[in-house]
Amino acid sequence: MLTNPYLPMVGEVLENHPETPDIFTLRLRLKEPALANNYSFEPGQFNMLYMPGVGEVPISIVSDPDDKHIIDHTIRAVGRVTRVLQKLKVGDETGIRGPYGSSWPMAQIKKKDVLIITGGLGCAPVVSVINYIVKRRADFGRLVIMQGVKHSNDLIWKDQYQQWAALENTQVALAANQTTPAWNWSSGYVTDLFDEVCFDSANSIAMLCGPEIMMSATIRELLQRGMTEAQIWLTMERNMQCAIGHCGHCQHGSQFVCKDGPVFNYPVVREWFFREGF
Amino acid sequence: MLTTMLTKTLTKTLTKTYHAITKNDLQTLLDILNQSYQCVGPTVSEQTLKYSSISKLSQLPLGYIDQQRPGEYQLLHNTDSKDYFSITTGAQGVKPWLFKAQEKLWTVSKQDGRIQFNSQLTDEKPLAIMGLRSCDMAALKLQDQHFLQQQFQDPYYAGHRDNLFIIAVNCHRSTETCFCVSTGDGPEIKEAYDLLLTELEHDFIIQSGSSAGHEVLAILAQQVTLTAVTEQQALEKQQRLNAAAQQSRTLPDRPIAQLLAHRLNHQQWNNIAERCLSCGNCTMVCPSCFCHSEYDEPELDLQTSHHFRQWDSCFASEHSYIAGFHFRKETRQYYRQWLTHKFAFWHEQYGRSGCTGCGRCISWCPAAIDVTEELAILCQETSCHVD
Amino acid sequence: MDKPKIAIHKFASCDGCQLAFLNMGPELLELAAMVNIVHFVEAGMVAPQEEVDIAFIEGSISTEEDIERIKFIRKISRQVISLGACASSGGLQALRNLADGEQWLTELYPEPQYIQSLKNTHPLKKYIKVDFEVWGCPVNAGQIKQLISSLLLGAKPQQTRDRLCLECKRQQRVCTLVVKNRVVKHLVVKHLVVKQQETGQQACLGPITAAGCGALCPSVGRACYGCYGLADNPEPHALSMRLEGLGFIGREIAQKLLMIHSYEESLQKEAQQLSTKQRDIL
Repeated sequence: MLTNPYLPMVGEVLENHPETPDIFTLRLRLKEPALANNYSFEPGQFNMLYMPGVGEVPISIVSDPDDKHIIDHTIRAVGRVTRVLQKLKVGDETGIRGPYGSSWPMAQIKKKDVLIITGGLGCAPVVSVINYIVKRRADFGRLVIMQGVKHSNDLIWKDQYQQWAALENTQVALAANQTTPAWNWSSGYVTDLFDEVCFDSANSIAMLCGPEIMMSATIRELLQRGMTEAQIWLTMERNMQCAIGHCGHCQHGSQFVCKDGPVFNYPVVREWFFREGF
Repeated sequence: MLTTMLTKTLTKTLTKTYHAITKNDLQTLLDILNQSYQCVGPTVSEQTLKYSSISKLSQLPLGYIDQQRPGEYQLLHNTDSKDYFSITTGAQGVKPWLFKAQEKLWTVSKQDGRIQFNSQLTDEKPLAIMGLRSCDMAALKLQDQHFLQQQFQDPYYAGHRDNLFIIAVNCHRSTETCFCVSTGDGPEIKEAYDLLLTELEHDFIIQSGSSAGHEVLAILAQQVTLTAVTEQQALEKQQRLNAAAQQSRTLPDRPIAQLLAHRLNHQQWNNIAERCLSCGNCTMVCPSCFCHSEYDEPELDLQTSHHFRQWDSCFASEHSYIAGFHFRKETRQYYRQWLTHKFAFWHEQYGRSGCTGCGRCISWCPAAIDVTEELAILCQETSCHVD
Repeated sequence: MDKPKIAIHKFASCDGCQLAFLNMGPELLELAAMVNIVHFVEAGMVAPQEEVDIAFIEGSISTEEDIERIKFIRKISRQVISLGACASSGGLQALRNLADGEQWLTELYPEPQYIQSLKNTHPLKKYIKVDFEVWGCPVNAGQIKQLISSLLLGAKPQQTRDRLCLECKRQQRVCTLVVKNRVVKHLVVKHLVVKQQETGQQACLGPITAAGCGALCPSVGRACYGCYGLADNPEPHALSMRLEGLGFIGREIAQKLLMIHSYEESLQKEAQQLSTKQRDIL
């Protein structure tokens, strides 16, 4: 008898924490103990969350892979399903399938400088990486966190950035396109931050998350600063319905983003990346 | 139960032995199959060929032939003809029987705040399908590869595919839109069937290609006379296959995959977009297209919801939609997505092109767009407007 | 939680869309258990002034009184949903917008001064904010069920505008634009049937029309006439070019395009081009 990869498991809401009016972090636990014990994931992977009667949606996992029994998802309530997920209360049950997709190359990057470069709101897929590194600080080299937001008010986890900035051998650089007087970081785009940060380009790995236009501009900067394409990793977003490489929506060149990605080494997707219509 | 090795050896010897049966003997074969299978085959319905349940020889399209041209499908009837299998293809082959156009995946029910998921894997009578052609057989292999031989197996497809009994039929003619010779998939069927029929003027040549096929053939042999194939019959078979190989359409004899992937800004995409309706019919009739979307149908009491999947198309605007953004917005991009996936990227994903030359996308295109013509222009030797 | 209150209002229309509620059959009882239907004249509930959570509106806006009434309904309804072609795009009666309505009145009625209608008839969205549109002429019970259950679940209703072709092919229907099935074609010139000829394919509007009807017409071998409104990314020009190629004359195609949703600008534009061409021919 085949296991059915289309069938969700039952997840219980442990916490639904609002980050901003439209961003929230949903903490789930698998209801069935046997399933919960078997569940393991790597930073960068995602789950399909399901609201009964409404539908399924891919959401990346932001919690630490060692915390086996809690699974955190930071979600922006913008779509049909996510707006309903936002209303979940502690103790509610919902559907969850996963984890799916590729993960950040955590094992390969030990002792290296890590650049985390993100654009847009939140960028949940890399928060798990930051937390992962912070928790295992000695295993990695310099940690550089660069984040660009449209408006300074959009930045979530403000305190957390301050805490990260205070860590040893860690640099945080933030930029906002539109700012309020209270903003004490830079103004401009995330790519304007390269003059502020320092890292050893020969011994670094860059991890990118954000709109493709922002990642594309960032890649140009990184290459100009002596990094090779192979040192660049990024996470992509596409329509995903099945998450197991069957439904075809996320086909991007010769990849299916859901199962070959969402985390890619840049050379794998370079040819079709940020091409109009792909 | 035979071991795999033994099955393979046996299959090999069986494919080499073939027999002749009379046309009426096909009724006996249908009777045998209907005992343990739900037997479907080609019938004439809605002025075309459709696969539906068959138990009587008279349900087969005796004397009908199809005339297919770009954007045109017509059946003609010749009352003098003794051929049952002269229609090459209808709009669909075996795909809707395995990868269903609409299928319930599971049901979720709620009671006192607790929810429960129940999958809808059905235990139906195995299917025997009669009449698949070389293009259909090649496409079946592609669908198997996609749904069964990747990282995840699709239990719904597998459920319908398990114990599928295939009576394939060699084509003895081609229609104007056929180009299986050019894709290397026809006209002769060489593998993956349980039984293979070649229709001659007065008889069928029948051969088995699997242990299941051999078993059915053995039962058939008890009820009708399986005669040795005469030299005359073997010659006729060859002549008929040769006739089917006469096809006017071909794919350009150029490295299509590499050329397409690097001609994303070719002027011809715009030219196609002026004619293309973005209706997605090409993807709906394509025997290898696998895109599908999922959706819920909640009961009004909100305690139960049924989760379905259905065929989707890269021509649908929602196909590339996420959170307020469409990666593809216009017909030029939709058509290019379809063609580049099928003829270029498919190679890296599945080791070959996704086209088996059935010509359905040509005949069933309501705007009469001919994929072979478009590819010829897109892959021309000296091509301007190349990026 | 209190059951959401629902009202069903009627403007210029044929009542067919309201019937979709009654056509729900036993499910209407299930619906009644989930919601409180306070105003639905066709079913005997009359309370047009009552504040409601969801107002379904059938029909287009054709008189001054209609404008006042629809604005009032908007004020007392948390969500307004247009039900069917008339409410969503003016419907059949919007055809008069393309003609001289005044002249029609004087030709048809002995005492036209008693008729006080707007010069043109309009969909609701011209006057008020519409939260969701349900398309169709008429809409069907399945659409209503899907929409209400989404709203009850607190979710935005599905608003996909996929083409009819996809729905049609999923049901293994045969493309009426492709299969030659010897329909008799009426060649109309200046309102007169001048010639009949046998042709193959039918002039199906499926490729530009939104799904939702269950491919009703193609399932009985008939061409779609577009009653569910335009699909996403419609290509009316490519379709009319193809239909001309199949031998249909421009006037015929233009009439077909405009029949139910003449309010759509892209259809008006295409019909305009076709009739300009037609003038050259005749």
